[in-house]
Amino acid sequence: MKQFIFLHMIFGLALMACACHQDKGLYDYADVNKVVIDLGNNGFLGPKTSDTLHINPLLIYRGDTTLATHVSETFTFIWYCNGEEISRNPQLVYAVRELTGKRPYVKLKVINKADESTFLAGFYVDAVPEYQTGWVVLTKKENRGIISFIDPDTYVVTADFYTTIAQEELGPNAIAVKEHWMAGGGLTNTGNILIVRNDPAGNIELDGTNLGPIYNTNNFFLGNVLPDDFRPRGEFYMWDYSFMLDDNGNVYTRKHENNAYAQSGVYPNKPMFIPSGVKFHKGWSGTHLSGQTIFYDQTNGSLYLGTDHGFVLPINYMSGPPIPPGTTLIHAMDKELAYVGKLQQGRFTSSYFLFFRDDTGQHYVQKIQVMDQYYTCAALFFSEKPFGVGTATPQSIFCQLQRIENYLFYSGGTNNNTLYLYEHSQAQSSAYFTFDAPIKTIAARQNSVMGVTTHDQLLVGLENGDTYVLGILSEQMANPAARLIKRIELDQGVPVSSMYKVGFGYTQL
Amino acid sequence: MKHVFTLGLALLCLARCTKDEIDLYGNTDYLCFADSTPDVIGSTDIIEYSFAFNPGAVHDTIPVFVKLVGNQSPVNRPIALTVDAENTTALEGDFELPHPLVFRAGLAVDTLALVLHHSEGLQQEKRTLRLTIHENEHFKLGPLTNRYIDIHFSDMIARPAWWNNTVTTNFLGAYSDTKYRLFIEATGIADMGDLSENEQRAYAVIFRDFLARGREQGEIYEDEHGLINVSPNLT
Repeated sequence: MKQFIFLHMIFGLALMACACHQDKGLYDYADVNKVVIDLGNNGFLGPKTSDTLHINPLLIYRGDTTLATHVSETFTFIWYCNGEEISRNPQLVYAVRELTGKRPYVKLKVINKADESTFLAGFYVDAVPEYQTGWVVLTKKENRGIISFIDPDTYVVTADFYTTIAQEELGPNAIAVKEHWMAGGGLTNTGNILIVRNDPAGNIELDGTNLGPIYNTNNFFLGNVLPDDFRPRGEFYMWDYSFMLDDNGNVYTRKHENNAYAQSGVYPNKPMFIPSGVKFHKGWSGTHLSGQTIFYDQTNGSLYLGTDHGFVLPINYMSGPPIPPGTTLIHAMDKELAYVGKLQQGRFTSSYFLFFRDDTGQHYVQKIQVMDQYYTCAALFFSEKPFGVGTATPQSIFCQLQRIENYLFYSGGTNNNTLYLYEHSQAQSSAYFTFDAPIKTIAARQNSVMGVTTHDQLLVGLENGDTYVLGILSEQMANPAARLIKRIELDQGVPVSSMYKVGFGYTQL
Repeated sequence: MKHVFTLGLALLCLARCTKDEIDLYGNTDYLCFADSTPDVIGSTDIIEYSFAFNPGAVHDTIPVFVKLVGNQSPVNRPIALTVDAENTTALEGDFELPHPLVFRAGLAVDTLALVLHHSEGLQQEKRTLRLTIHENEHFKLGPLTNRYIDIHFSDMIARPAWWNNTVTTNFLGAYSDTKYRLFIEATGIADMGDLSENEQRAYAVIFRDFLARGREQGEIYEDEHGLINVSPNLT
């Protein structure tokens, strides 16, 4: 037994001696020079689907920074999209629409030819549809309704796209374009384009991504039977309800069965009951957030609210301090309501500027806040001021900035050729730009400037078919010479309506 | 014994060789009533009709299908049709039989236009009219169950199956005959059974607006529950 233990001890000591043996080392090490790849982005790219990627990576190698194209002798470059090889050139030139996968991940593998050392870098591509954002202009030419898209960055015009895409004419009676977001469709869903046609053929909704026609709203009347003598004058979408206004002043309301869908629910094919046989002359959409629609009964000079509960309620001033004498009363207007400018505020409660015109051509602007109280509706009166003396005319076109309460742009002056800026806080108008033809449409662009959602440009459509993009940021307001950004010879006839297509639904919250 | 079997077998063989004489198809034409799907001959449906679904009508025409089993004819052929007085409670002035009573040339199924007249008492009772087909020189009688048809008519109304709890709660409120009649008058429909909730809602909104419009003009809408209204949940 002792001998057995002794032998094991000897064996164990030998093992320990081996373990303590120091490897002196006799190896030929070579330095692997790390390559840092700079693809010129922070891991995400948001090009348009119509764009082409041009990426010439910067390599930081042995202390130098050099373009990939300059070191193609030293390195092999392999580009992948979602794992599939797409190029072996140092510089990637690749059409965005040819990238595969829902959210393509583009990866560059750089291999040092000398030692096979490999380095990786990549980025996600969140492609923005070609028509995600941009100006949309409805014009009329030779009895044709024409709708065109203007790229907001390149100003490339896609003229008369409805005829091209839908393979049919829009007809002569298109009167308005507007953006339509689906409340339940997800905030990253793109808003569609609604074309209102004062025509028995009904309104058309276009897909906001590819501009193709998707719905004719005539198909959403009960039993596919249209009301008698039906021609739309307006259609107003809110979160859960929409309203249709027809040429006879009747309104129709429907509940959205599923507000994630662009069209759901059916309109009754008989007019909605409004007490005292009230008919509506015009309507204005509130903001997407507000869930409000404003209707104007011109005959009785009254204002009504179309609510997101499917009601149409008369708007009356809430009780409180007396309304100053001489004010235009919203339930008994002695002036014509020319325009309603919405302001971005809360849900079910939102403010509006009402622009009135009296028989002498004098304009007034009144600010109210409309509060939807489910079965009743009250308005809080803020102020009323005369404005636009000598500048605003019966031909004036108005554009109140939804997110900058202080600014209203309107046309006027001689031949309606001048664009004016009205500042509510100062109650003063000033000429902003004068054109060589009468102004027919004004639309404001909504954009994110230094992280703030605001308005930075206007599109002004002229009777001669030209459109102008004007800057309205503070530096452009301060410097008249900087205001003109681009003149676009649209040449598609007389502008009828225009809008800036903002795109994603979250932009409206 | 063996011979008897042989003889029997021979007789059987002979019998097998006997040729049946086959009647030519179409030598006889048969006539019968058919239901609303006249391609199939089953037992004939009872025809139910209520003037309540056609408010204000003093008379209405209802189709009665008759089906030919046999060859179509190039000429109109008279039909022998009578009212079975024993099984009929309708009064003489309640109906008009079509005239002339013919099965029209070239048809396999013809429609007889029976006219029903509204009269006093139809709101209180349902009346029956039994029409019976008789054999004549042109037609023999079809299946026994299709030789007569009963038409039940009234101006009465009853809660339909589609006016269920969902419709009551979400759209129309509690059922009453009076409300149902008004609903039919307002919307022009009596059956919402096959409609989606969207469509039911839209019809309920039409009805709500009809009541409001009428009240504004001084109409009074009441039933056994009080004032007639749609469901308070209808928005």
